[in-house]
Amino acid sequence: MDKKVTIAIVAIVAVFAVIVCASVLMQESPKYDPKDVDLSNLANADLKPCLEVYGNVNEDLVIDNEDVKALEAALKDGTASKLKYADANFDGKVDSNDVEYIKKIMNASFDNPVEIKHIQRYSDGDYYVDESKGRSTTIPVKAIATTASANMLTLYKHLGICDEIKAVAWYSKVDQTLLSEYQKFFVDSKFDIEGSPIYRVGGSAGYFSEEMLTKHIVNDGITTLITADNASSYLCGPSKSYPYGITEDRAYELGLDVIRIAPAATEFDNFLSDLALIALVTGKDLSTVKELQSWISSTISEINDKLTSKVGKGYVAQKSVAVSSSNSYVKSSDGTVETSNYISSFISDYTKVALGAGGKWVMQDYPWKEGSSSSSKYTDLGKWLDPYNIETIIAIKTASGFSYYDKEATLESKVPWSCMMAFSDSEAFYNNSVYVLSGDLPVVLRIVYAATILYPDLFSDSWAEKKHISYAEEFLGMDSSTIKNGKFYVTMEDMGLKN
Amino acid sequence: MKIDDKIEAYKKKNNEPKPFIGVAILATILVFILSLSASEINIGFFEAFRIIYDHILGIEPTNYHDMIRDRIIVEQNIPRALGAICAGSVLAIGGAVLQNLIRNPLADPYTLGISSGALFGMVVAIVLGVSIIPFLDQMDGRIVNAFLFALIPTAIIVFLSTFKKVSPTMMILIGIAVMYIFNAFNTIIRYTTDDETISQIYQWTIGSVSGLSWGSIPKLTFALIMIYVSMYLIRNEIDIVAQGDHNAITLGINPNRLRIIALVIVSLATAIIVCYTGTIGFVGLVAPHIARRYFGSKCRLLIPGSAAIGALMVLISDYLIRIIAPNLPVGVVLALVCSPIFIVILVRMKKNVW
Amino acid sequence: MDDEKFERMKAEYNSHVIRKIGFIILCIAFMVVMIAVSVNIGGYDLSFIEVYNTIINHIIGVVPEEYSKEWYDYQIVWNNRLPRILFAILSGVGLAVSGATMQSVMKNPLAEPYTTGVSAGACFGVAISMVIGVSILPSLNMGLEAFILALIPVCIIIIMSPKLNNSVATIILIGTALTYMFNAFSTLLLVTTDSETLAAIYKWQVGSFTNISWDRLTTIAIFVIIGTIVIEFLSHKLNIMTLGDNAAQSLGINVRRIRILCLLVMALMVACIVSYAGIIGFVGLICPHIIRLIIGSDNRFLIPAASAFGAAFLLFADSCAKWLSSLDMVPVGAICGLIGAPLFLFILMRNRREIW
Repeated sequence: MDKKVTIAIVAIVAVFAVIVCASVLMQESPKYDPKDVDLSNLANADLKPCLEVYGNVNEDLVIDNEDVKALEAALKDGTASKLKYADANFDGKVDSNDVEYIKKIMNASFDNPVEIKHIQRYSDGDYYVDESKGRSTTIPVKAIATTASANMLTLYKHLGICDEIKAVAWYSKVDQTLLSEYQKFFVDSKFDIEGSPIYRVGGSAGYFSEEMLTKHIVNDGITTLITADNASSYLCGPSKSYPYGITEDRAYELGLDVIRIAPAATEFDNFLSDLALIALVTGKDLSTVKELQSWISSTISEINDKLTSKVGKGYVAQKSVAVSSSNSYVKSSDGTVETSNYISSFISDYTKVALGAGGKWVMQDYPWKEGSSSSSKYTDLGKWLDPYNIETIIAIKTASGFSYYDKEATLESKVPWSCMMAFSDSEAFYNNSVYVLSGDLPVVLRIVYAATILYPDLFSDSWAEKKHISYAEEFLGMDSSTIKNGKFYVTMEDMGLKN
Repeated sequence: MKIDDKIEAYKKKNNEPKPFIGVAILATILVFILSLSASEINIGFFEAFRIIYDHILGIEPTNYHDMIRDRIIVEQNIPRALGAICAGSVLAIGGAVLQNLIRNPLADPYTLGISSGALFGMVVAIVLGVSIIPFLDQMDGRIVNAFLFALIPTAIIVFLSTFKKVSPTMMILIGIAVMYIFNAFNTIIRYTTDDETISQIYQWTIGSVSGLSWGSIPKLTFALIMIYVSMYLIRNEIDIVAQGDHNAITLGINPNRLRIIALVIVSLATAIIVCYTGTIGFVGLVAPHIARRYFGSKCRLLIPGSAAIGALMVLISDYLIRIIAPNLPVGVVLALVCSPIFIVILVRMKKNVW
Repeated sequence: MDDEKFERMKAEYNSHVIRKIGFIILCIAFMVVMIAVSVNIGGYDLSFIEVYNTIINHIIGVVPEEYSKEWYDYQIVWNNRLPRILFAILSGVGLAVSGATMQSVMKNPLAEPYTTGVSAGACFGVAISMVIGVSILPSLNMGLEAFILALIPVCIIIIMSPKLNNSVATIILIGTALTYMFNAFSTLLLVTTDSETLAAIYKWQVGSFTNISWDRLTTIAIFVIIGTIVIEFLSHKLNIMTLGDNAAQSLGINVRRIRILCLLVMALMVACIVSYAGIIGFVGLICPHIIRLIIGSDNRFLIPAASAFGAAFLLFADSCAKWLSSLDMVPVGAICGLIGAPLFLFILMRNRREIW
């Protein structure tokens, strides 16, 4: 045999032997033991949402006479340059022209369209604001192209926006009970229902086909594109060299104004200011937004007060929690199992729901990909389940093939079952603490139900139901019987999996 | 007499490379034993044996800690190791036989389209929820689908060969054409599903032994025994056909019929493997080449030798995965670790085996 | 030999040549027709006349008013459909010519442009770009990550080939090993990422012509056209090389150098195409076989025929994909396989000659 080949093979065998010895002799790593209570991730109840539009001088939710007065007073004082949103016409100077411009914005109508400048926020793991891209939008808007994910449509439902939407990009249909008026969007582009004005212009949530979009720009007069704020997957794709579908710059070239919002944000300041922006842009009533602000603020402070007073050493122990959004499980009759599990990272919107409900996230030293807003996969028995003491696993799933508003259908569906079985080797499963939470709920309600799941002594099911009914009646236009007939989180006992 | 001397020398040469096979088999057993205790949770080497002993005696684990360890060792590690051995051997034997019969170094069991047929069956079952045999449970439906569809390319080749004399290269080209058709369907279906299903399917195409359980071991073992015994029985005929079709005909062997028979058996065995593990892609192509380097091209040694090397490759890769990076599928580590070795061997090869 | 016999042989040979040239012209004619048809297919509703008005107006120099209907027509026809059609044509030429050359150079009917590892390298480059988020010079709007990484396996082979006893089979095997290795690298990256990125990478990998602009097109055109011309000049020598390495060398051909030159040219062409279009898998392997079955293996005719047929075929496939789904839900590679594989099987069965 060749000498060098021998050396190579001996070297590889030696490396192999070293690895083997190391693994054999290695000790078990100690369990992570969360001693201290960490309630720093609770949602902020002291909301000061700000409509991030230039012209909103007093940084509230509307552009009205208060802004005019504030600007005039500031111009007299000479403190005008300190106001962030004072330069309404975005010409670089703060002067009386801006006062005139604010008045123009207040009187904008279809006959007198006005161009406003707003801040565009992107999320790429963490929020960042691209101030250089003060995007402009002409208001009011008659026709919109949008992403039709469940979160977006729920947001539109708060404001009653439906007929303005002319073109949607979507993948899977949404809960028929919650969003019944939006079901008409989901028609195939080739066979449209008589009289339906909506066409599908994209095969998945972040992808708009240029030809179809242009067709609707010409036919329906679309002027605005509203989509989610993920910088790395919507309107571009994960890589700038390989864009997938139309990019944001191309949309601007085609004459569209692009607005990016965060419909599933647990930072309610951002959520409310996005809502106010859409209301301003479509000319809808802003009073809903203000009422929503007070509802959210009071509910969140109620939750936070209960948690901070009772969760701690000696009282209710803080639960350590992991959240999952993507999981599946199939098992064959001869025992072959195929599972797929993704646990959401710390900065994911889903995890923030559980943290906002008082849970503790214990996986700090797990090597997450920097900037990942989503999740990381684990398969096979034993993957970091041992060193991380996870007491509860919450899987947040949107309904597909059933509706959470129908109790029987939910309990009969296989989806919650397979979500739970996907974690069947974890300690949480062994202790009957794997839950499935509805992903079709508005974010604040997710926190309400998550609190009920994590601390049933502090938050009862009837309290959650009351909250849900109050929210649904006031903001979603649904009545209490619909809510009472639904099941919005599923326990292992419901699925017959209790050990 | 000179002839007797030559016969003696030939016999001696024939008997030479045996120790290497022994080494390979011994190494396989060693790695098997080592791999029993390997997992992400660090279970001590001797504790693994204690757990197995307890399990055989019937002692039930009482808390989560013990239960999970028992589950890992008995329900996961052992079947996985056994399955790795079976898969590696079957693929390597299939590759060796096909390369000899088709006389092309690029032949391996997947070139005939088996992998894309199986993938198509899988995709149909996962996405469309349709399985050929109705009333089957979800996962069962997938496995059966994968198996049946994996045989279609072979069936087409056999069918076409009854009409027309099919040269070995043409056989592969037909297999490749059918593979493209299936790939086309796969691509269209996969393209139109959501992200989760795409990643599910992707996992399967990479190939891993992690989903195996005790229930699948009998079938995998059956595949191994079937292919090993049948190929070993016709080992001499394969050697003769490898010299050339005309040589084979003058010696009274029908090369086309032999190819078809070998093809069918290899397809059956590979299909069984593929529908449980997915497509583990490197072994069938490379293990025979490595084996040829050390054992020569005669089937008497090549078949057991490539089986041993194939089993060793998959087993080592699985073991390394379990120690180092448990998220990975087997095919990845196989390619990473074995590619450089393979390239080095190729470069250093003095005699041209091809 | 008699003059009569000689004349007859000459006439027979000429008829063969005419047949081959006829095939090439037929392919080109089909391609031209497909261009005219394909410009009209797409999600945006444009009638036949409007399309041609737009084209003619742009050539004359009439600039439509911004955001008017004519302006949108112009955007779609000139910035979407025409580049896509030209891209399909150029890719067809590049891939088919590379495939034919690869099979001649490697003397193996299973060789295709991706055997040297180009596709795996490109996939790895894209995976790096998407998962890690690193983009090399994104402002140039060229898929440089994929391009550079696609060339690395070929460079490895070219560097190592002097040590390889010049055996073609070992080149193929090393190429295959490199393919597996780079695929493994990609998988390593992809397993750690979330399902959205995975889906995005998969959609790139499957191959489509949608992300194209005029400047990218110019780069591709340069590479493909120059590459094809170079290989056409080498086609004489490729013919002689099929006699075997020793025979060719005794006739004065530097086999090794030509082999490496061909590999390099092919790699550049294919890397360029793959880095924009993704991995379109059928054209490089099966199209040359189809052509060989029709007009034989003479490289002087094979190369032009490959370019004509490849272009026509890929353009046809792309038009079908566009027609079937205006949302780009049907990828080109799939249609290629669906149309081409049965075609190949059919021709294979009807053929009397044995080429391989």
